[in-house]
This record gives sequence, C-alpha cells and structure tokens, in this order.
Amino acid sequence: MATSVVVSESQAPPRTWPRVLLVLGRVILGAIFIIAAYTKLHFNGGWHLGDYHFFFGMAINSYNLLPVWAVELLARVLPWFELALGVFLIIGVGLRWSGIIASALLLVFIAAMTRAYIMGLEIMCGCFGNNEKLGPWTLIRDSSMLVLALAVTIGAFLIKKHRVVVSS
Amino acid sequence: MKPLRISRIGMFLFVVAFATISTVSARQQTKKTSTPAAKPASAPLDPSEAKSMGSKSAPITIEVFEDFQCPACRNFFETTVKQLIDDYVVPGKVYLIHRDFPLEMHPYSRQAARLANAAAELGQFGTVERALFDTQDQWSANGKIEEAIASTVPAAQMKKIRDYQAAHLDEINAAIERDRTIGVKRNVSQTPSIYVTSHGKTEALPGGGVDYKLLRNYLDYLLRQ
Repeated sequence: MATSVVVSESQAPPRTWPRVLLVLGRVILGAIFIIAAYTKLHFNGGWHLGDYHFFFGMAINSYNLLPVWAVELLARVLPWFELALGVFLIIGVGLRWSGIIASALLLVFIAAMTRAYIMGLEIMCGCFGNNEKLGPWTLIRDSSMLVLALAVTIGAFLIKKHRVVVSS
Repeated sequence: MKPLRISRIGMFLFVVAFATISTVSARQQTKKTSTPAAKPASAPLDPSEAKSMGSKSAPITIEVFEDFQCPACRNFFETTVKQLIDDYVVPGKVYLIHRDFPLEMHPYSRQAARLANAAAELGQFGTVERALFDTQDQWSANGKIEEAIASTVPAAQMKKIRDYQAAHLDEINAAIERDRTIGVKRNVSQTPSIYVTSHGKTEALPGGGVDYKLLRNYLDYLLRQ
C-alpha cells in the first residue's frame, strides 16, 4: 500500500508553488531579521558598531525583566544573532532549525512585550531601532512575524518529509 | 537538482535583499542627516545656563527634556539624575541641562515649570527641581505646588520666587516655549527624552528614562574615547 503511494507521487508532476511560497516566506522573514539587526547598529544618523550595545541595553532594560549583566550581554549579542539568523533564513541553510529558532525568539519577544504592555510600562519596543514606542501596533506586527516564522518552519518540515518519501 | 536550484534562488534573493537594504539605508542616512535631530551637533542649541548644572567645559553635555508632572521623569530624576549629579556633574565630567517640555496631558506641569524657571533666574533651580519631583504625588493631585514644596523651600525664598514670576511672566513663558521648540525640532514625543553630546556629536538615548548603571557605562565609554 505504502509502495503504491510512493510510486504514484513520484509519477505525479512536482508541485512548485509550495517551494516558491517557502522561498518567499523565508526571504521575507530573513530580511525582517536583517533589518531588525541593522536598526540596532545604525541609528541617530550613523553606524554605532562600537557603542550600539549601550543604547540597545537601555531599551532592553526598560522591560524590567533581566539583571543588568544579562541586559548588557543580550544587548551585545542579539543584533549579530538576528543578522546571522536572517542570513541563514534567506540562504535557506538549516531552514528547519532557523525556522524553529526564529519562532522561539519571536515568541519570547512577544511574551516580554505583552507583559510590559499589560503592566502599563510606557517604554520603547527596542524591536526596530531605539525610538519606537511599545503599543498594540508593535504587538500585532511581531505576532504577524511569528505566524510567518511558524509557517516557514512547518513548510520546511513538510517539504523535507515529502522529499524523504519521494526519494524512498 | 531542485534543492540546488532553490538554494541558488535563495542566494540571488539574498543578494537582491541586501542590495535593497543598503540602498534604503543610504537614502535614510542622507535624509536623516538633513534633519536637526540626526545632525551631529557641536553644541546643544541655546543652552539655558540658569537651568543647568556643572561646568560648561565638561567633555559631555546631557540635555534632559522633562515635564515636572510626569512620573517617568520623577523616577528618572530620583534613580538616575541624583547619582549623575554626584558622580559626574560635580566632578566636572558632565554639563547637565534641563529643558522644559510640559505635556498637554498634565494640567499642572506648566505651572510647575514657571515656578522652576523663576527659581532658576534666582539661582535656586536645583533646590526647586528636587522639591518638585520629591513632592510630585502631592501637588499632582490638587495643583497646590507651593504648599507641597513648602517643607523644602523656605517661605521667604518662595516669596522671592513668586514675586519674580509675577514680574517676569512673559519672559518665563518664552523660556519654556523656547525649550519646547527645541524639543519639537528634535522630534521629542515623550518625557524624559535624553540627549548626550560628546566629541561634537549628539546622540538621542532611548526615550522614557535610563537606568543609572547603564548610563554610567556609556558615559565612562565616552570619557575613554
């Protein structure tokens, strides 16, 4: 029974639109992460490669979630992590892992933002640059990004599974 | 073949995306440098000496756009500015400028700003600023500012401030408006908004106040440059 399914799938013309959608999704998601990294390194009209972490750290700290040492560490690492994640997503290398990590990262961001919003903290989002106020719009935007990240992750797993079935 | 082709498409799209981002960033940079907020400034606009603390020749200048009735401003003053004054302003490392930015949502903030400006002209800005923030909860509820700060500012001094304010109301209002205009030009939309000028360059810190330890690290970094 299983063999006949494999034979019929291998004979059917390959569907390209799921792959095209996946490429489109991961490129958009990757570009968003690269832009997020870029706005943390380039602001106030110039590059801040030597001191970006002070500014970003101040934005992270306003969430009142982490001790200062963790804020400083996160502020140093996160922009480069976002940049690397964006590149990996666009190139499509290790897509399933990149998708999972992107989804998890966005989930953490949204949780922190929702908490701050519920607590009534009037703070900067820190998502794209240092001067964007946290509010319903930033929550909706990040939630949309999470939906996209989940779609890319699920798509990457389904296409991989399809490939395995066809090749066997 | 297929995965290889998709990877190539991915690579191509990455290059296109990167080129687009670079172009957009270059354009944004060009636009930003034409705005007063982003323009590296050699010195802050129209520093009001009466509302400033420290030495004008200090290597770092910090301008804080504040509203006396804003709770975030009080928090910033209590947790950061007081320590900043002791550790950086008094030793001559930072020149601290207060800029009035009364928000429309706070009914008594202009009244408080007028009082602080009158006190500034009489050399009492530090005392009144501290008193206004320390008693913000009291006068924010009923607008009785003088009553609230009476424990800190002696009656005789308060009378002088009141008299000065009555005699120079137009000038005081103009001084507040001047600060507000500077803020509007810099796209200030909330208080406190903090600008740090060092080595001929002005940087806007994330709005809403800054933790003292993080600010200290940044100032130390600037002083090391």
